[in-house]
Amino acid sequence: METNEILDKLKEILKVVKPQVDATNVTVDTSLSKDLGIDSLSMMLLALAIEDKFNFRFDTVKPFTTIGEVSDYIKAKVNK
Amino acid sequence: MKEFPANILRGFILFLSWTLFRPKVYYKDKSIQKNKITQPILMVCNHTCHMDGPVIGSIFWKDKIHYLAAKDRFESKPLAWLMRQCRCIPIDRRDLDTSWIHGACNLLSTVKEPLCIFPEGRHGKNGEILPFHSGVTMLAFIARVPVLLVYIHHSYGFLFGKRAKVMVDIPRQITISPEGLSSDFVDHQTKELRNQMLELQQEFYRQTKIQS
Repeated sequence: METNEILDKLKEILKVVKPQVDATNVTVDTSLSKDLGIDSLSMMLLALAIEDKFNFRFDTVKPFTTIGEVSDYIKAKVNK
Repeated sequence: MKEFPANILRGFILFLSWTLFRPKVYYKDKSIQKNKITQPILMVCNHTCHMDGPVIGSIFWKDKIHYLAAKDRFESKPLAWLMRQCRCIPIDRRDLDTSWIHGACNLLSTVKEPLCIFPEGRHGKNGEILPFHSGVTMLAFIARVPVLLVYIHHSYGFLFGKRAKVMVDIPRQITISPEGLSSDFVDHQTKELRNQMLELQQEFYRQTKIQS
């Protein structure tokens, strides 16, 4: 799965988890906390939604800082 | 047979807790008083001290209650062993960990046993009910189980101290959001759940005539 495809799916998830955020301008450099206002609650919801969408389970990991890091993690998990 | 020693240990701890704290239970709906909990339910309690878990266990001794506890508590090996024997599931509050939610959901939806959570995460001073962490709402949503609020009055002591006093609410179903699980909605529902706990606290004061 390619980064762009993952990014599109992440945008769809963001629309549900954080509907007040404009997900159209999200790129790999977008900061989760500064740009999207993702806190620990939203991050947990995001993780659960990602697990559902991409069909894998998160291992216990340090919280991510950017969308790029999330997408890299998904890519590594999905393309394993 | 494999579980036998753990059952004895749990039984001993619950008997000891019941003897030490002599819990007195008030029910919002007295019809549930004599009934065993037969459905998977998320028991939500306020947190007043470290002994709240054993107190709850001694009250609902007929039910196989599991508990969610902070992962920090599992750092010491003997304590971790004891907590696992007492059916405690660790929650990692620092890192991104979804395994506890999946484990807890599996317990509620597949094994169909009750689960107890202290959503404040730490003890409030002098009976203050602290803001709830939102994991409780997420869990109730994902597992689709009713929530049973249990208010524990803060002033109880060992053996010759005051008896533990507890008020049990009626099971409530959490509203499901049609748009999916957004952070605002979960946040709102978590605050709502805390408000219901505050109402239960007031009901406790009314029934017991204890001054708040």
